[in-house]
Amino acid sequence: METLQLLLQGLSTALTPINVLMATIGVILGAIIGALPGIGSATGVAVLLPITYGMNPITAVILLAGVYYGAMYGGSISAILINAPGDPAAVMTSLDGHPLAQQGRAGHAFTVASGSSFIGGTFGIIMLTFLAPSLARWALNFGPPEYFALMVMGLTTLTGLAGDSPIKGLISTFFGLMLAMVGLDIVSGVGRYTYGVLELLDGIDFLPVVMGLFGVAEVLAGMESMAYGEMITSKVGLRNMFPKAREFFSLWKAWIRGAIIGFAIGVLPGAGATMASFMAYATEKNFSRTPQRFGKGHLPGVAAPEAANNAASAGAMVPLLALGIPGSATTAVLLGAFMMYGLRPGPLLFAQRPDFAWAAIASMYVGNILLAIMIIVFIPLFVRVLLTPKNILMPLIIVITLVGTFSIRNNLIDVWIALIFGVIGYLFKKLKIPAAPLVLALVLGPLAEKTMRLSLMLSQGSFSIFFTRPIALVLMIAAFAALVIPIIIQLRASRSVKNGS
Amino acid sequence: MKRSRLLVLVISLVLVLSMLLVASGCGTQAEEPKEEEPQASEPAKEEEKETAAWPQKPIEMTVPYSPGGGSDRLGRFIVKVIEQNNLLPEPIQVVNKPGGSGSVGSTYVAQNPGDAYKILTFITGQMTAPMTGMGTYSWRDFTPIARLALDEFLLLVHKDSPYQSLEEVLEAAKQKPGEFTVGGTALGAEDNMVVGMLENAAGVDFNYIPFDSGGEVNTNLMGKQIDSGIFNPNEAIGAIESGDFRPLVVFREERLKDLPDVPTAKELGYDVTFQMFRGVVGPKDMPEEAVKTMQEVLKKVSEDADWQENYIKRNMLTSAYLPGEEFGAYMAKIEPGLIDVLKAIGVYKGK
Amino acid sequence: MKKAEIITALIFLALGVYFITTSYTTYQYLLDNKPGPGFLPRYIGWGMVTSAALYLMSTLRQTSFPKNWFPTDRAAHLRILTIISGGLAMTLLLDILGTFLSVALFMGILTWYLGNRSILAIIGVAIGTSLVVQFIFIKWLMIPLPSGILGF
Repeated sequence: METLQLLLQGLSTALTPINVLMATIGVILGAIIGALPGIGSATGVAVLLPITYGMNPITAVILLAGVYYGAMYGGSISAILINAPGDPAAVMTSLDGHPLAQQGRAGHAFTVASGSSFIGGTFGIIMLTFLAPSLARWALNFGPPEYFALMVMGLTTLTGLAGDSPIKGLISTFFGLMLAMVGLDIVSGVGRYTYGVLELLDGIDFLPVVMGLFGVAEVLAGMESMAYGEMITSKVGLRNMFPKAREFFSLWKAWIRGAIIGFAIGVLPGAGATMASFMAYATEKNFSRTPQRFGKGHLPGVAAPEAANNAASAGAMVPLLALGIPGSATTAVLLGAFMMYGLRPGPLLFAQRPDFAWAAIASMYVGNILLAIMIIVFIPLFVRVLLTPKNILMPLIIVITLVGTFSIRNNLIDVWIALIFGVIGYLFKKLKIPAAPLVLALVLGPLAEKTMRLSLMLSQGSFSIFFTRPIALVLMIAAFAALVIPIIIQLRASRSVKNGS
Repeated sequence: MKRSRLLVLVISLVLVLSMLLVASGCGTQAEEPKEEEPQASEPAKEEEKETAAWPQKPIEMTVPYSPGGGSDRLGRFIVKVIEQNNLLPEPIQVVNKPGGSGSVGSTYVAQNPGDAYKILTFITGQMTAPMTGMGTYSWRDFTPIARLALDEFLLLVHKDSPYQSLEEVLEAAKQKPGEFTVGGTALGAEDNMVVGMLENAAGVDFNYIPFDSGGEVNTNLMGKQIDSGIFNPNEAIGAIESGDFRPLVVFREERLKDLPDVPTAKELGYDVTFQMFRGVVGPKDMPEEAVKTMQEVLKKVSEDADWQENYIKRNMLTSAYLPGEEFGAYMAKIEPGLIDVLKAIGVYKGK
Repeated sequence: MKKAEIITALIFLALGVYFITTSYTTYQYLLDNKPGPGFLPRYIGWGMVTSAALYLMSTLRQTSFPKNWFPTDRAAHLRILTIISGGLAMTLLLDILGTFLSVALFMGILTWYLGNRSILAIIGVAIGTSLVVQFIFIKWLMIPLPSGILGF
């Protein structure tokens, strides 16, 4: 009850006209930044920081939280429209979102994306409101061994992403893991596979790779024929913008699974929204009775990752607000902003500045509603992008993708990487090698290696550390199950088909 | 500055929308944005040019680490103070170029000798990076502009830890050589150097765990995954205040004003002092005028009330302004000591 | 398609072998009895070798391959080559011509090449895109895209 009272107080702060205005500006700016390929929410918040100088700290943080939040929604826009995810967490959205757009159902994809984001986000904020402190303490049980087990689980759920041929999925995974090995070895300080290139010391960033494999490769594929796809022939009238209510609400299972997975992973510092959306997608596919429809424009394939990445971004606020620990790059920037305004985040933030903490949480409810409304209102406008003549749209996508790639680390080497992976991605497409496992392996690989080696440093080299700690053990078992269960299900399905016929 | 950026945003939005509409064949609305276009020149006029010869265009401040890190905070706070007090007629643009323990950003600036519009945040770690084989430009390839602050190091344990003092920690480390874990940020990083110095002074062998960031060390100490952690005060101050972490020792000449109960290593009989500096440098042969002006500006920044209160005090730093040449002399003075420590922890790859 | 798949499999096989080799020669497998920098590369290398070998075998055994897996149309090949080399050229020119001109050139030339013959549209798109990049990325988001020798 006390929580509710504090939340209501927070709401009364968040709902003052100036704060609503700033939240609106924040979410709009965030959505734009999120929609631009490459520029993630961390850069977005950092760049917008100066706008807030001189504001009341609460108002400033409401604006910045709006940017953070808006970027999560915005990321799906370019993922669906041009197959170039605006934000790393939107990679999975493009897998089914872009095919939907190509089939002339971009409006449906947007509605589902924003609806799922809203539900995932709201679920995340409610959990944040009522359970933040205890959840934050729970998340502390995750040391390096637990993270390693989690990464292994992430890699084994890959079976859900492998596409038609498991062998090609494996090739893609191992290629991603190889790329993940590039860079400085944290334990010995040796630069691995860097061949003297300074920029490679920190490894191959996965975003330029994504920009190439998805955005650039899609344009190359689009060049095969100058004829327009179905997207152009289908009507863009208002009636075709939105899916049928029944179809929309039949996604509830995907929402629940996505939101829970997203929030649970988001709460863990360092795991983040990207991994959450991957896992949600893979889980959704593993649970689905029609896994073959994924990747070809299946609505649950949009719903689950979108619900997950928004739930995760709310989840990432848990360690920040409850313990003063940044769980992601963006929350690290937010933490810096807090301090610039004279606030001291830490375990005492809720006690010392309840007005501030609760206003920030309350503003997230407001921002979430604003975003859902806004995206739906603007859907007809977004869809118009697809009406742009192909001879303008295709070069434009290249420009925006490459410029966005540059902005990730302000470095031209990333642009080269994007171009190279554009060609690789196109060849993968032609050879029907799935690109998603590569990306996931590249995201998880460095984390997996780091956590494994740190664990073994903690345990003096004994591998038993992964199996003697309860959470790590459970996760390892789950990882094994994630590998085996889909195979069993498939075997059963094929047997029952045989029996039936 | 604030307003002009918002204006630019509005204009660019209008531009994008108009492009989309034009492109999709919605010709009638294309007229609208043109009416607003004259605003584009406004921000430029708004800022009256002063008579000073430098700067005549925006200055680019490279922060060679990711957004959210300590150097990013330094850079952005400097810009905040400069903008709030109109200390410079032209804006400063913060650019993050992370990679290779700061060496990617350092290299970028070093490759532009004589450039008056590129400056770089510079910390101890960037000085030692080339000594550990990362990047080729030494601190001598830069023009020191000013040192602004010194950051401290604290050894912390969790409140539930059995260790009440540095002595007990060292005793435990002696019992089981190589097993007592100390969380830090990276191999060869400043905190690793402090641990190495302590190991040498006390004749013990710690198990140094290189997490990626202060935030991760914080999480892992909070979750009791490690026996102790070594921190910059600002990374842990929230948890110290709440009583979750117990500070055991500070590696400084005198005790910290804000933590008067925490002894220095020196008092306890171990001659280990280490402070990391945070400053600003430019490329080699940076024009004299630019260096002088920037020095003056940074001096004013370091005396600003907001800076002192919300940057220095809140981050528990020591305000330590040193102008150009003295900053250079300071680096020359600490260099041999740094090399010795790097050799001791086995990461030195110098010439 | 068979030939292409065999070549792909062989490339990946070679990559795998390379990784295994480096874990014996360049990077240490163990370091103080704990996994060293060459530890994971060895297993990843073996994993790659295994899956590439499986890929190779299944391709060799496979008899029917989808037809027209790669566009046969020469014009399509040219278009694909043009847009990717256009992207490369634009990136190379960034440092010389600056972002504004490189982007405008790329947009103008490609729009023309891909069949738009309206001069007005080409100029409009070229300048429009450059302006958008200039305003949103460079002015608003303060991304230091390279400016060329002309200073913009």
